[in-house]
Amino acid sequence: MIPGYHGKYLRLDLSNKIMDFPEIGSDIYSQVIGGVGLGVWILTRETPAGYDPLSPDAALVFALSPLVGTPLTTSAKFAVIAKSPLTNRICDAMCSSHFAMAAKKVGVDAICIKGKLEEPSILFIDGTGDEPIRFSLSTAAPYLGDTAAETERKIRLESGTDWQIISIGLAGEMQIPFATLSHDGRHAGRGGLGAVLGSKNIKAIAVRGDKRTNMANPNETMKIARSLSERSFTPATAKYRELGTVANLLVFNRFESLPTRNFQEGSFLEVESLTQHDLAPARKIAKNSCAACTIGCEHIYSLKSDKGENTKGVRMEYESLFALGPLCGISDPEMVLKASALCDEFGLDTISTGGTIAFLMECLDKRFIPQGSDLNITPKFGDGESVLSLIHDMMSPNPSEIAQLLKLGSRNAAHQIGQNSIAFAQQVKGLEMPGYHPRKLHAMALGMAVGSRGADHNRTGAYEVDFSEHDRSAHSVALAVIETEDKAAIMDSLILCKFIRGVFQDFFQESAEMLSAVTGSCYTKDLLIESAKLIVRMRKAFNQREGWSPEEDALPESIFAQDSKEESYLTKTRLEDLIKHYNAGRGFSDDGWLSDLQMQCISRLGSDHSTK
Amino acid sequence: MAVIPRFGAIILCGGQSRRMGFSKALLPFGKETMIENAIHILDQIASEIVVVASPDQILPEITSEIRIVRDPIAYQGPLTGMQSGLRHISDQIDSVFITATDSPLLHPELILQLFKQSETYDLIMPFDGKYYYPLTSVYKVKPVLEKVEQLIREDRHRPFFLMEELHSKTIHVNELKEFDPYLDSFRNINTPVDYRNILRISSMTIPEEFHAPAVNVEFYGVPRLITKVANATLEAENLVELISELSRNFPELKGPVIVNETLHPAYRFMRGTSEFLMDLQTPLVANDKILILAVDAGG
Ligand code: SF4
Repeated sequence: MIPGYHGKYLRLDLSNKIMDFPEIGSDIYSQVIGGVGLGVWILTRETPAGYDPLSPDAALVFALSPLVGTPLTTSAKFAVIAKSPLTNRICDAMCSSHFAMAAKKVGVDAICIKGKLEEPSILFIDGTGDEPIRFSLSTAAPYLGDTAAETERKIRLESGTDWQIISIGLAGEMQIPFATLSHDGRHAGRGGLGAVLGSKNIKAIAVRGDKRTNMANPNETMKIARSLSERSFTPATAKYRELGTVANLLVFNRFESLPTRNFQEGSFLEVESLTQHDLAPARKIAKNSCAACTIGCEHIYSLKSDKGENTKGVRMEYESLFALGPLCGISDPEMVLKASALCDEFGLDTISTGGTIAFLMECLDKRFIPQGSDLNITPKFGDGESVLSLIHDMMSPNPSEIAQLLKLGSRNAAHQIGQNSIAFAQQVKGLEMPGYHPRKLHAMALGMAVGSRGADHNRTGAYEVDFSEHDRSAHSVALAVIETEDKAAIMDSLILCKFIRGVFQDFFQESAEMLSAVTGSCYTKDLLIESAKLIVRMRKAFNQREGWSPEEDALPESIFAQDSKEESYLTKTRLEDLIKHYNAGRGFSDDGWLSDLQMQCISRLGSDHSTK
Repeated sequence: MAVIPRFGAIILCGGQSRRMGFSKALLPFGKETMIENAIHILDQIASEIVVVASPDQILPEITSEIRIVRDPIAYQGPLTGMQSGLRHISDQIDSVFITATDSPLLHPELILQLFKQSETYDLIMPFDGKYYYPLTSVYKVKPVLEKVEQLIREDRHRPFFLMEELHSKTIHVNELKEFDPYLDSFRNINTPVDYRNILRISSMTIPEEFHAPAVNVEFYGVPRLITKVANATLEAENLVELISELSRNFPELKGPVIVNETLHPAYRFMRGTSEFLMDLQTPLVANDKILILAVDAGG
């Protein structure tokens, strides 16, 4: 057995209640590593082309990685991979903490869930003791409607705290296409992975185990771990330690890149009112971190009850702050915290929720939706109460017309509304855009347009290019974007938290050293870069199999400068040029198809892809 | 402080002041000029002072007790200046402290200490691990003048040769901290930036014509959290000066954001939102908006 790995994944067919353990060859590990890379490989081979992401055919993969369970800081992470019901394209999301370590101790490198149960259930996977790995099911009836956090708490109370649990909230049960899946308050947020689990009639998965993998070179691993931990205390990570991602708000506002009122503007006049205390929307009451992390980027803010008392803490990230604040024109920090807490409780992706609401607000402003009496709620830019009501309404048994539009996500809502409203549905491939107005951030614009899971800021670090000195030629920007995407592919496959990226001198080299120390295989910088490229291609290949077409790699029309009054504004031609160079840099055809040779390499990995 | 018998001082003020762009001797320093300031300090300790100027150099009115000698030819370097000074000091003087006019913060206690330690040596020269300070040193008149003349004859113009070829002693500046805790005696003025920095640490007003452009610094993220302000107006002609102004006005930035008199690599300067300032010598212009940001923007 290769150190760091268990050599197999767990495949559970819920419809037939059959569990087996397909082997994973060492050649696969050496190329896809783990996490996202391993996950996309499993997803591809476990699903038929063109399947419905919410059908029993769909697979939901939880992929672990060789670094999980090692002393390397920020490595307690897992990847969740499925076809997104929001985009019908690949969705790979990260989540962290104890679930990752417990799932790996089950004795497998990934868990692949297929089929569908008849009744809502809790799935237990037990890898403790000398008996073979086993699973059991119990009814989810007592937990239905509960928040994910509450479900976790109850299950652990009843079944024991050695279980680690991922769960969905009501949104997942309702299969809302942007429902999250969460563990210990952290969400695999984007793309509706919670709906995929909900579609299988599973409310929560509990895992435990005692199977450890060993490290090929524990001394060397310890040495690297120590150095990494030390570096994680330097100014390179201070932003995350001291402020968390909310620090982005004022910077983006200054760069006119803070999406405001459905991306109609790039800066928000009232931004300062959202940064009252220590540059955050409210007084900070606690700090938290994932398991095995020395940075600790989670900042918890106090939320006042209606009577004005501080009742509970809300975790706040930049993406939630932007999406439920400036994007909807909201400057009241209490409202943003309340909306964010509400999304958390229902298990809704804050970006897609805020993004779709902001889109509906603009539609109403433009009179694309008649403001008749059938609308009991009229969401308006700046009106926080209307945001809260609309979310509640969507989650009610009889949502109003506008809430039903919200439920679709912005792209599908735009298709229903028509009138070319798709031009300002701020999404790519159906995934609502994150908090980066791409009008002036050309690299980010490219990163979001070509991203395999849609408009995304996690599977690419393209914004890093915009925020540093760079050559603005399309060729250079495209190459730089490719590099950040490659880096992210490796970070997400190792897995390490992206917030530690600032401490590396030579990321690929240091990653190769880490992997070599843990697995004993001889990784090199070049091999890892090859792996990164392969992983990016595998995601693209999956999308091609599921019906991708070149027109999808685009941004909404409203983003582009109509007249180029400002030279730095993105035009459609510029984006097309960037995409062309990106495709060339990736070795794709001009319009973005994988080459035959690239397809063959992927097929050789044992995945079943049929293209076009 | 009492004057030391048989101890003199030589002030070399005929330098070119090229980088300063203004005669250093005439630079205002408080109510005086730099040359007057040097004379005042040295007067407390030296029983005789000789000022060495270049042939046509304009000097302020200087009391008649001070002898002013002119180099025969301008800008021949410090050794020629030393030669003129040593030749004109009176026979009553055995050893001298030699300085230029551009070190306005000389501490008499430190000079006294150099004098005391110079006893059996021809010269004593401070050293900070990297640089020697021949123009903050004590010399014996006779042997040094002989050597200076020899060196000039041989066309070897570096004061460092004196140290090599005479019976000399070096002293690490740290050993002198007891007498000048911040080693201000070794701060000298070569540029307007140096000049302003010395005025600032001495809490003196910067004369109108020497002001640097006023720029607006905007703090983001951790720097803003630390300084507790969104922005500040500071005067600086380049980023080096800006960093020292930041350190002076916001000492709490030292460590987390400013390390070794430069910005920690986790941060960077921008002018507006499109120009990345990578070179610390980049000249700043009045009303520039200088942003201090984490390199790790986004995420
Ligand atoms: S930096 Fe934040 S997200 Fe990353 S591992 Fe640490 S606590 Fe978790």
